[in-house]
Amino acid sequence: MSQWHRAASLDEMQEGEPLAMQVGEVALAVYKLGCEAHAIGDLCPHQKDVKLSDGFVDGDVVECPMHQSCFDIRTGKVMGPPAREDVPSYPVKIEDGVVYVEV
Amino acid sequence: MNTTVSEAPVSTWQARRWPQEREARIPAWIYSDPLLFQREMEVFHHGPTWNFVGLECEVPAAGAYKRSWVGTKSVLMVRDEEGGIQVLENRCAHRGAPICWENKGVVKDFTCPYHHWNYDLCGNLQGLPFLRGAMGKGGMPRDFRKDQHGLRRLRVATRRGLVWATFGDATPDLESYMGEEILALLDRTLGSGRLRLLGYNRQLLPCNWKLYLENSRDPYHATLLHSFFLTFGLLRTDTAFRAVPTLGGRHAIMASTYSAATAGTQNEVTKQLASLKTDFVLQDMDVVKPVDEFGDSSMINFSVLPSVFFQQHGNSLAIRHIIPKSESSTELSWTHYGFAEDDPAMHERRIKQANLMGPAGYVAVDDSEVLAQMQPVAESAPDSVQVVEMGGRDVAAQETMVTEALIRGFYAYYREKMGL
Amino acid sequence: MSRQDSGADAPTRAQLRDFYDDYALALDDGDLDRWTTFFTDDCLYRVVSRENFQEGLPLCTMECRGIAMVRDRVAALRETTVFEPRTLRRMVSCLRVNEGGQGASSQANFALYESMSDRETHLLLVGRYLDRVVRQGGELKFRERVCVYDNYRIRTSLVYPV
Repeated sequence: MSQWHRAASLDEMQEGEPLAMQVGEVALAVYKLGCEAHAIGDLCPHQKDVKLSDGFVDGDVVECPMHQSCFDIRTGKVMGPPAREDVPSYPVKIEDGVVYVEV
Repeated sequence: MNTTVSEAPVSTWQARRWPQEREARIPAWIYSDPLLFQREMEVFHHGPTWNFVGLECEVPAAGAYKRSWVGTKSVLMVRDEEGGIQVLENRCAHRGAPICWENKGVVKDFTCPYHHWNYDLCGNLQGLPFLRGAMGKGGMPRDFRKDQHGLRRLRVATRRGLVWATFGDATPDLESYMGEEILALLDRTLGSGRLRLLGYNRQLLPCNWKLYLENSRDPYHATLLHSFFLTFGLLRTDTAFRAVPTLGGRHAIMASTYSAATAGTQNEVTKQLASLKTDFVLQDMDVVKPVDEFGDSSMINFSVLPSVFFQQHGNSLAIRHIIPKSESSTELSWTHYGFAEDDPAMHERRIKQANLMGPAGYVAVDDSEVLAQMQPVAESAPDSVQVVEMGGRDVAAQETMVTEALIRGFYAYYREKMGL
Repeated sequence: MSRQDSGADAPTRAQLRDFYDDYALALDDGDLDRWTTFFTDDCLYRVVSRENFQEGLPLCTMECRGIAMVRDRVAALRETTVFEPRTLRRMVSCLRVNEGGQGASSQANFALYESMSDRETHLLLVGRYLDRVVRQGGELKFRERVCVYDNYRIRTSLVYPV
């Protein structure tokens, strides 16, 4: 049963500084890109106790801090080894300047 | 990086001289000098030589690996994603920890247990923790390039299901290194190349690696030390036999023909030998009744420098890997194999006949025990000299078991490469 | 191995313990002929590395299929093998009796210590026995004894049975 969860106001968020969130058992992070926001799973598929949100953001790519696996922030698609799996991508909506994520 | 010989502390061995009788003599100091041992590793095992690593069938799937040795260096034989074989030195490019701590496994990539540097199946450095620092501090210098810090890759050659590797950049191709005669024997003994792994036996011999290598090139002792061979007609003094050094003594071949009709019996000369046990009969003769699977009535064993002996005793086929550990310690690792085509009877024959081999082998125990006894004596008398003149003083091939030509051949080659 | 021990014939734990100790002592005493009497005629005796055992590889360090090969191992050892004299002593512990089924009917740990005449005693081999013990003619016998040793490699040689 998915629900919308409040993340933050878009103005409070900064590009390049993802917001890590925990919704029940799901770890995810929300990224600001211009006037958009995107949410993807936060645990690296390569080494599952590592958070992508601790990593390096370069435009629309986030790089895992552990072994530098890169993921597309918009889609969660993995862009190269060592990780081989995508991270999940979660629907995002912005209402009255507030970002919500559906999990 | 290694210091060159001229920069290293002057070792006793460099001041020594080989006896003037050349390869008809072996000075005992070569079995006990630790700096000489290091030099041998550079010249032979880690140098321009092809070294046995393993069988292709030991790493069937992508990501499968087996840990092995080239000289004193731990290596990983890995099946990569394209189906090729990689051999990587098991030593992290970061701090030198071994990245792999198990004998066999299947992985997607390798992560060093110490700082978690991560390598792909070809040894390329894929990632390392906190490359960019953590919380704005630390991190590697901006000009750090991962492609300059991969695992050391050995050159690999595979042939008929066997994997060879070399550290040397200047090593000639496998075919040239083996030479025609050895290549032909490799192809004979590996047959279709569809090898079936039967298992491993391993032992730690408290002796110098060259003592084992010489033993494996010494047909002279076969009918004297191994009375089991003699008693059951596996070797007879009238066996047609060729002892052939190749490529100046680099490798060696011992080829005998036997008759399936006379296997299990002795001839008159044999019956006179002191090591014969006339009262001894086996209750289950299968272990001494081989089948002529190669169709040439031959038992051919050969030694390939620096580290491997190919065994064909009846139907017991094995690859003996000589793994030096120190000047006084050597691991002997036996990989027994058959073929995918073997029927159940041949399979059972190979397993039964394996009782002659390995650390508890009816025949092989004799060698282990003698060599273990020799090492402390060699160490106690480094200036003593051994005499190897059986069959003469030269290194030509001979048609007899009663010769030390193959040992002389090895030392002619050894002296040339070591500058002794 | 289709014959199962019937409940009435199954050895007690105490009987098994004695049987295991008798076996070890026969070998410790060097009584190789008596060692051969611990097996049924259709026995299987194996000494195998854990490496091979876990991978399901068939090669053993010693393998006797049937009592003839058991006797042959004794004979070869006596008549032809050349080795430095030694004393082996076996420690057997942690006997466990399993409840029927296809696996081992009983098992125990073993450790073999080897003493040479002129240097220190050392641990030669350590591992576990996986056995099938049956009663024949009122006596216990091994139909199967598989000695799985933990050692990665054997120090020089394994001369005597385990």
